[in-house]
Amino acid sequence: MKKQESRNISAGNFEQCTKCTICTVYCPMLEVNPFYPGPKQAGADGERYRLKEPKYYDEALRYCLNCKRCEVSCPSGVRIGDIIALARAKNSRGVPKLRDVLFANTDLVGSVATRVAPMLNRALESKPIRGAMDTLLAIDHRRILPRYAEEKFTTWFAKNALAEQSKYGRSVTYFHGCYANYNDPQLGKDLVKVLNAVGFGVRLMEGERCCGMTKIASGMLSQATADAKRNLAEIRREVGEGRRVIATSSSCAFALRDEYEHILGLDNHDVRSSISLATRFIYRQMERGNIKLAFRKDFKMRVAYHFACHIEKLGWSIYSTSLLRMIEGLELLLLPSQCCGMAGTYGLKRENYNYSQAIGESLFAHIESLGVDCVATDCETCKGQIEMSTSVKVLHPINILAEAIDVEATRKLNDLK
Amino acid sequence: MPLLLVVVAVGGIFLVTEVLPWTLSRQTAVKRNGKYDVIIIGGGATGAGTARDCALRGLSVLLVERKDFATGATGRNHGLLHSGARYAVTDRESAAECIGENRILRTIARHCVEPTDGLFISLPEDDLGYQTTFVEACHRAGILAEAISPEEARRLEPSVNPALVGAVRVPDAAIDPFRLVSANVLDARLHGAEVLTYHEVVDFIRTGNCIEGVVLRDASSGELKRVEAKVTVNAGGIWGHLLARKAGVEVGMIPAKGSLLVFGHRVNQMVINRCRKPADADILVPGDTICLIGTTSDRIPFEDIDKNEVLSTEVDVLLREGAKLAPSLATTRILRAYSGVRPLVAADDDPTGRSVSRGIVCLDHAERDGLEGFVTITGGKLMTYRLMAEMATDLICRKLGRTAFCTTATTPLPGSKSESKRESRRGRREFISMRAGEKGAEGRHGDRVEKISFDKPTDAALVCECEQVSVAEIKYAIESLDATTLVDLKRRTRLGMGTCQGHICAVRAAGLLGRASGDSEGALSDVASFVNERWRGVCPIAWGDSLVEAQFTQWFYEGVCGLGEIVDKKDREEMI
Amino acid sequence: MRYDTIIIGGGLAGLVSGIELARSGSRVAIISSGKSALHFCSGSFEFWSEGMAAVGSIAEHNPDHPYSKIDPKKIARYTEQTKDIFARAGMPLVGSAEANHLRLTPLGALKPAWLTMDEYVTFEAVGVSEYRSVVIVAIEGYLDFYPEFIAKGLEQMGLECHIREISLAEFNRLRQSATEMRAVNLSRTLKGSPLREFAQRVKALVEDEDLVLLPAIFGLGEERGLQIVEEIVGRKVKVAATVSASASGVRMQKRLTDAFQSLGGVFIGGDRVVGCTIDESRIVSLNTANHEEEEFVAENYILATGSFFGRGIVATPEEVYEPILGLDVVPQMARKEWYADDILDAQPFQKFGVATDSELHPMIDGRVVENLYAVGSILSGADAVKEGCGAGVVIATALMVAENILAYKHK
Repeated sequence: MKKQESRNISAGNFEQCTKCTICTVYCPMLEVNPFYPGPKQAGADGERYRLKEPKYYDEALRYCLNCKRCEVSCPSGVRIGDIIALARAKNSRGVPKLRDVLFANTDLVGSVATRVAPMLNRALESKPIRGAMDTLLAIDHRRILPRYAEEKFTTWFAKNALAEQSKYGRSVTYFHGCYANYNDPQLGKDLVKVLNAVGFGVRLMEGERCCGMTKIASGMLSQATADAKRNLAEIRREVGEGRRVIATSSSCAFALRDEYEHILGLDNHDVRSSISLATRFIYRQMERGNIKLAFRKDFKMRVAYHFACHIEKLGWSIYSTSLLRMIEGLELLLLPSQCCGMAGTYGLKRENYNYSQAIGESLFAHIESLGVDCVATDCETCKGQIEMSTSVKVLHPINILAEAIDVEATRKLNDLK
Repeated sequence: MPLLLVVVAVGGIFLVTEVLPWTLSRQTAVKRNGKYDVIIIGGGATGAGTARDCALRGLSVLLVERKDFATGATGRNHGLLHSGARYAVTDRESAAECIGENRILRTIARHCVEPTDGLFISLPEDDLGYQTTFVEACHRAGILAEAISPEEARRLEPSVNPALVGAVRVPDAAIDPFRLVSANVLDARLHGAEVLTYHEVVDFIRTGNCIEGVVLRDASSGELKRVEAKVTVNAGGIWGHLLARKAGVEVGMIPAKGSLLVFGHRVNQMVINRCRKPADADILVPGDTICLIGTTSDRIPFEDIDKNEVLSTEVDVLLREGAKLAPSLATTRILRAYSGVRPLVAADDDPTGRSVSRGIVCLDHAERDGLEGFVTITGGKLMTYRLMAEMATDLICRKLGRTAFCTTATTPLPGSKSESKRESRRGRREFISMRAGEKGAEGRHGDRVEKISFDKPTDAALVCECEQVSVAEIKYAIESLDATTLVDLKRRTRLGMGTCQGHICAVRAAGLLGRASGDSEGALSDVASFVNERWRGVCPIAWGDSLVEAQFTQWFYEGVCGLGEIVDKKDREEMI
Repeated sequence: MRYDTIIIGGGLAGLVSGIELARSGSRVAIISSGKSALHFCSGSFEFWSEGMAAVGSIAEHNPDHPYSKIDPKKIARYTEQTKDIFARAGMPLVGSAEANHLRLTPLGALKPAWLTMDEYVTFEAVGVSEYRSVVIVAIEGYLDFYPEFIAKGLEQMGLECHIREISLAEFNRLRQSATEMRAVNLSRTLKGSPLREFAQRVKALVEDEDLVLLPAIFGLGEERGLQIVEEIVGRKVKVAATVSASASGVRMQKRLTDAFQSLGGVFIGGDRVVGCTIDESRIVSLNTANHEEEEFVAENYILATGSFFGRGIVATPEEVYEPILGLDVVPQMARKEWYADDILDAQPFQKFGVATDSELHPMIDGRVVENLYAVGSILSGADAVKEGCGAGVVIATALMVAENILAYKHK
C-alpha cells in the first residue's frame, strides 16, 4: 500500500486569481452595501494597486466582515479574506476608537464585567444607558449586547470540577475562549459534563488568552500577536503532553489554526492539527469507537442548524450536524449556508448595524418560518444575532448534546463507575 | 440594413437615457489648401516630441503614424528613466545626456515618472572591483552614485537577491512611455499641430532634389492622400531606415531585438540592475502595477522587424537571469512577453549590437546627400527623446529660417502642470477617499484628470477591473487622446494590461466603442484583434495561472460568444 | 468517513453523477474546492456543434474523443435524463437528441446548442424565426450586456430590432459601486415591488414588437422573476446571455447542489484533496486539507475536477500533470506545440487531460486504477470550445459512469 501526497498548486497567492468574479456572488456585504468594493476589487485587484502605492488603499475595505465566504467559493484557492484583512491592518490609519479597544480586549473587559455582572446586565438593558453608549461609543442602541455571567467559567471550574478531572484516564484540553468564560459559562459546564460522561478529563490552560479574533478584526495586530504567542506556547505544552486542544467556538478554533499563520504570520504548523472543535473531537472519538453515547428516552427536539461563516471556512459543520443527527429524538433541519450579519463585534458597531441586519434578514425570516424549538450553531456571535433578531432560542450543539445524553447510561457504556 | 435606434420617452413613467452618450471625435482633417511647415513621420517618443517642440515654436505641424502612437520601440522597452549609470563606464557622453534628461523629465513629465531610485547590485559571481570603476565613472558623468552596504540594500529593497555583496544607489526611475507620448501629442495638438494615426507614408512627393511632402494611405479606408510640407522629418525609428531608402537616401541601421517579460505585480519598488558590463536580462523595473525584466539582445534581419516574436529560449534566459536580481520572480505569475527593435545606427560590426553607441543622430539630408526638405532624427533612446526633438527642431527652424527657441526643457507636459492630489501631502486624504476609477485616472493622467468627467453615476463604473479604468476614462481617451481601437485604448489607459489580459474588459470597452462609433461590426472585429494582440504576448509564457486564464479567455470569447464566427480571420489581426 | 462513492469536484460533472447515484440510494459525498465553471453558464449546453446526426460517427474519425467511449444509442436516454434532472431542480430545458437548435450568444452569434434553459431565446435554424420584430431592453450603465451586438445577430435572422434603455431606482443604488453592477446583483434586486416596477417600465417600452428580449438577470431575487415580467408585459419575453458570472449559472449551481443534498448527498465545499492511499490498483482513501487525518473511504471514486480552469490539470513550463492523484496526462508534447497563433482557432491545450480506458478508468504509469473514474472536462481528447462539446462530454460521461457504478453494484 502506498501513501502519496498530491502535487498541489501553491496555495493562497493572490495572482492565482483568474478574475472569474465568483467571489462577488458569495459576499454577503456586497448584497446589501454598494459602497463596499467587493472581494474581487478589495482583494486581488486592489492588492496590485496597493503594492504599487499604499495610497491606493480604499477605506471602504472596513466594511469587510472577514467571513471568508469569498475564500470558500474561490475556485483558484486565493485567500481573499486574508488579503483584505492584512491590507486593512497595514493601511487603515488613525488611532482605534475607544469602542474598538473595548471590543478587542475581551479578556480585560470580561474580567471586570463579570465582577459587576448583575448591575451591568441591568444597565445594558436600560434604554438611557444604551442611548448613551450609542452617542459616546457608537454602539448601536438597538443592539442587545451579550449578558455577562456572575461567575466566570474558570472560577466555576476551579471550584467544582478541577479536582475530579484527574480521575479520568484520558484527557483533553479545553480552549474555552472569552464567550464561554465571561458570558456563557453553561457552555463550558456542558462540555465538561459530556466529556466526563464519556471518560475524558478536561484541562484548562492557565495562561489562556483571548484567541485574538476581535483584535484582528479591529486591525490591532501587534496586540493580537502578543496574545497569540502566549496561546501557542500554552498549546504547545498541552500538545507536547499528548493532549488535543478543543474549542467550542468555531471562530476561536479558526483563529488558532489559520489566522495565526495567515494574518499574524506565526508558525503554528507543529500544533495546528491538534487544535480542534469540540463537536469534531467527540464525533471522531465516536467514529473510532473510543467513546459511546446513550441518550435520554424522553428527549425530543426540532432543531435548525445554522452554518456559521468560520465553521464553513474550517469545513467542519459536517461534524456538528453528524453529531446532532446521532441524537435520538432530535429532528435536524439545515438552514441555507449564509452569513447572519453579526461577524463577531462587527454588527455591534453603530455604523454597521443596518448592514448587519440586512444581511441576516432572509435568514431570520427563514428561521421564523420553520417552527423549530431552537437553532443550533457553533458560533457565539451568531447566537447573539439570531436570538436578538428572531423569537427563537439558539444553542450550541454541545448544549443540546448535554441535555440529550443520559449521563448514567453513558458512563456505564464507557465503563465508568 | 442599418441598426435602428429608437429612443422613446413616456413622460415620467420611466427614464430613457441617451443611447448614444457621446460621439467619437473625428481625427483631425488634413490641412486644406497650403503646406505645412513640417510633416513628422513616426508616432514614437521622438516623433511626438518633435511635433510638440515644433508646435511650441509656432510651426504648422502634421504628425503622421502608420499605426498608433508608441507602437514601435518607444512602447517596447523597459520604461526605465535611466540615471545614465548604465552607460557611465562605456559611453560617458550618453550617460551625461541621460542624467540631464532624467532631471528634466522628472519635472516636465512628472505624471509619467515614478521616482523609484535604482540599485546596481553585485552578486558573488560578479567582480566587486567593477563597482569602484562604476561609481567613479558615474561621478565623472555627473550622476549621483552612492555605494551602500548589502544590509542597507536589503532594507531599501526587500525583494533584492539577499546574496548580494555590494550595491550602488543611483537616481534611476520608471517612466511610462505610452503616457509620455500621449502627453506630447496632446500638447502638440493644443498648440495647433494636426495628427493622423493609422496613416502610412507610401511615397514621398519629390521635385528634383527636394522632398515636398508625402503620400499617405489611410489604413481604414485604403484612400491615398497627398500632403505637402516645407520640411519632412523621418522619425520612424527602425522603420526610418526603410523610409530613408524610399526617399532615396541611405541611413544604415542595425535592428537589434530585445525581449522582456512582464510580471503580474510589483515585486520590487526600486529599479534593480546588475553592476557589471551590460548583459542580458540585467534590469528589473517596477512600472505602474507590474514589473518587468529585460532585455535580451539579438541582431535580426529587416524582414523580421514587424514580427515582435519572443522565443522560448529568450524567455528562459530572462527568467533565469531575472531570478538572480530578485529570487521571488521565479514564483511570480508572468503576464506576458514582448519584444522591441532598437534603432541603432550602424557603427561597427558587433553582432550583438550592444557596444554600438546609442548616440543621437540628426541628419540634414541636404547637407549629407544633397536632398532638400528632408531630415532624419534617429539613434538615441527613450530617455533622450526630448533632446532629440530639440536637435531636430533646431535644424528644422534653421532650414525654415525661424529663430524660435526651444522651451520643452522647462514647459511641463499636459498632466504635469501641477502637483497631483496623489503626490501632494495635503491631497492625500482626498486621494484616498476617491473612487477607484478616479484614482486610476489621476495616476495615469495627472492634472488632466480635471478634463475627465465623473459627473454621471455611470461614469465611475470600471470597464477594466484589473487596472481600474473607468467608463469616464475610456470616453476621455476616445474624445481627447485619438484612441480609435481597443489596442489604442490600452496604450492610453492600461485597459487590458492587468492580470486577466483583457478577458473581462475587451468586450465591455468594445461595447462602449461600438456605441460611440455606431459601428458594431467594427467593434466586434476590434475585440477579436485585441484578444489576439493580448494572446500573442501571453503565448510564450502560457503555463500555470496564465494558461488557466488563457483557457478561460478562449472558452469565453470563442466558446460562449462565438467571436470567431462573427469576425473573419483576416480581420482578427488588423490594427494591432 | 465512509461512503459508497466519493466525487472530487462539485461542478456540473460531479453534481450530475452525484445526483444520479444519490437518487438510487447510494451514499455519496462530493468534495469541492471552490465553486465551479457552472457559474458562467450561458443558459445552453452544447453536445456537438456539427449536429446530433454526426455523433454516431465520432468514434470512427476521432478514437481518442471521450464520445468514442459512449454508446451513441444511449444519447437519447441521456438527453431525457438530463432534462429530468434539471426539471426536478426547477430549471426546465428545451432541446432534443435529434437535432441542435440555435442559441444567441452575448455578441450576437447564433451557435448550435443541444439543451437550453427555456427562458432563453432560441431558434430552430438560420432564418427560421417565430418572431417578426424584437425590442432589446438595455439597462442604463450595465456594462455586461450588448444590445447593439445582439441586434446585429438578430437582424441576420430577419428580425426588426429596436433597442431601448431603461433605468430603475434599485439599479441606481447598485451603480454606487464601480464594479458590482453585475448580472447576479441585478438579479437579486429584481424581487417584490422593484421587479413589478421593472416589468411596468418594460411594458411601457413595447410598441408593436412581438418579442421582448431582456438580459438574463432573473431567478435569484425571485425564482419566478421572468414569468412575472411576462405576465405584466403581456408579450413574449425571453432573455439573452450576459457575460461574466451569470444569474442562470449561479442558480444552476445552487439548485443542483440543493437537489444533490436533498437526495442525501453530502457536499463538502471549500476543501481540497491533498493526499490519497493507493493499494495496488485501487484507491483506499483520500485525505483533505480541512479534515487532515480523517480518512475519506469509498468503494468508488469519481474525479471531476475539470481542465486547467478547475485546476484538474496543471501546466508547468515543462509538462502538464494531474495534481491530486498523479494520473497519466495526455498528450505530452513540447510547449510550443500547445498553442495556435490565433486565440480563436483550435488550441491544442484544450484537448489535454487524463488518459482513460473504455470505461473511463484513469491510469497511473499506464496501469488502470480500477475503482476510479474520470468524468467531465478533465478527460483528454475533447476540444470543448471548437467542437462545441463541453457540456455534452461532461453530462454524458457523468451519466455513463453513474450508470456503470450502479450496474456493478446491482451485480
